[in-house]
Amino acid sequence: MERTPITVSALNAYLKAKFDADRQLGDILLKAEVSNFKRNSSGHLYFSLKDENSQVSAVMFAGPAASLKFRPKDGDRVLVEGSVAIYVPYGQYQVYVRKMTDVGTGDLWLEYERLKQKLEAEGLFRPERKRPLPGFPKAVGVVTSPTGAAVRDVINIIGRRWPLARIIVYPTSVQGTEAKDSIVRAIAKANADARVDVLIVGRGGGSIEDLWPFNEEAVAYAIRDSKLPVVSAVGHETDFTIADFVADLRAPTPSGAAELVVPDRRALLDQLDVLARKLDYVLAKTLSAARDRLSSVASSYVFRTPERLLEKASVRLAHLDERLDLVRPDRLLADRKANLGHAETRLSSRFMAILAAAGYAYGRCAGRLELVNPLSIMTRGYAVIRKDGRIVRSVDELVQDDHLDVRLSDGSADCRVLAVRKGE
Amino acid sequence: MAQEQELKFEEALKRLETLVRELEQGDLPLETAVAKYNEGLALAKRCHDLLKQAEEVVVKIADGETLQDFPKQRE
Repeated sequence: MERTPITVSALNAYLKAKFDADRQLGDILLKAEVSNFKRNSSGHLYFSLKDENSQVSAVMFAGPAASLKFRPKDGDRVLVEGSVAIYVPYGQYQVYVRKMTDVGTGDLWLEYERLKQKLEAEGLFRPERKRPLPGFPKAVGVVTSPTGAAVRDVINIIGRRWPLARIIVYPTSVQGTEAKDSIVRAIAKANADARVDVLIVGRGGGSIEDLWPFNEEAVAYAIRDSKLPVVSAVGHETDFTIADFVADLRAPTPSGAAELVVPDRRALLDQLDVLARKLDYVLAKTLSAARDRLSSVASSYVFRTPERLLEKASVRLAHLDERLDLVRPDRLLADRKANLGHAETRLSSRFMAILAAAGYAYGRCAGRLELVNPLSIMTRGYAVIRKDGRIVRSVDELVQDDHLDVRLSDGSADCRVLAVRKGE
Repeated sequence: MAQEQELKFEEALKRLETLVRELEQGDLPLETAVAKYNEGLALAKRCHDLLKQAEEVVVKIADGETLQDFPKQRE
């Protein structure tokens, strides 16, 4: 009897086909505990599902894993829906998980959702309720366990960044049933302390049950009623508690909260340095601008040759001086005196000239008068004949027997016309 | 008190920033600019001193009604 060998691949492929054909394996519901939990970089989850006696490999791909309502970890008791199939390269069968719920906390999640919706409806999460943190807190209150990692982280970070603030720890229990009342009391106590001006409320990482006090209604109201701004810092970055939604600011971790509540001293020293350098720079610029203005003014001609500034003025002054000189009273008087003297001289010389001229003219006139003096003419033998008082100049004025008065140089004679003869 | 000085720090820093801004606008008379510069310099020094004064953070615990020193960190 001859048998034909088959390959490993053929065997695995055959089994895979058998598995895939099985209705039961195509849709199973499994109750188990998670162990060897790993999340790879693409978001796929690889883990084992086990009970007291047995275990099976499981994979949940990133797609369905995104809708998980909790963060699976080793030891979680879960309910799994999925299928069973052969992984051909390894010849291993595994559970392909479609849905997984946390059996241990299933009721808690329901409670979480219910409370979240209620408080949201009451307006506890509204953004306008969020108060700003003080920029430079004098004292930071920390509501947490005094023995946990959280308080150490907060002290270390504040001590490094801002040792100028005081830290006041308000100790509280942060897990277990008594924790919620303890947290509420600690928040109230911090609020009663006038020294504190910002509050960190939180704890380090843990299971959902460990973090549960921060999902309690009483804690949510205590945070709402706090007069001090509250920074919540519960667990890890992926943990969101009700306290985170109510708080004025949510920090991913207690360390993160410490960084949010205080400034960084080194950063401020750097900022001061920048400001001081800006001061120097701006003043230097202002001074050099002023210096430039000064030197441009100083190099103008009036400063290089200041006498030129006086030039115009001195010309004017000289001019004025001259004009003033002209109206000086003593000068005026002297001028007038001189003018007067001058006039006198001119007048007297003129007068003399007139006199001289007059004397000359008189001499000549006298001579000429002598020539026309009728008496002197008469002495030369001429007579003046008047008829009825009027001088006779023509024989036409005479008729025979006219009586005439004939005047000579030394007397006169009454005469009678004997005859008149014309043109002789 | 340390608390008062911290308050002063905040105000001093704000004032310093205002002075720098005013100076940067650049249309101040020279005397004013120099006065503001001197004030700014004094503020910068004061802020610096205030920041430098505390070396170690003081931690208290509100245990009962009074504040106690918080136990030092054990390594």
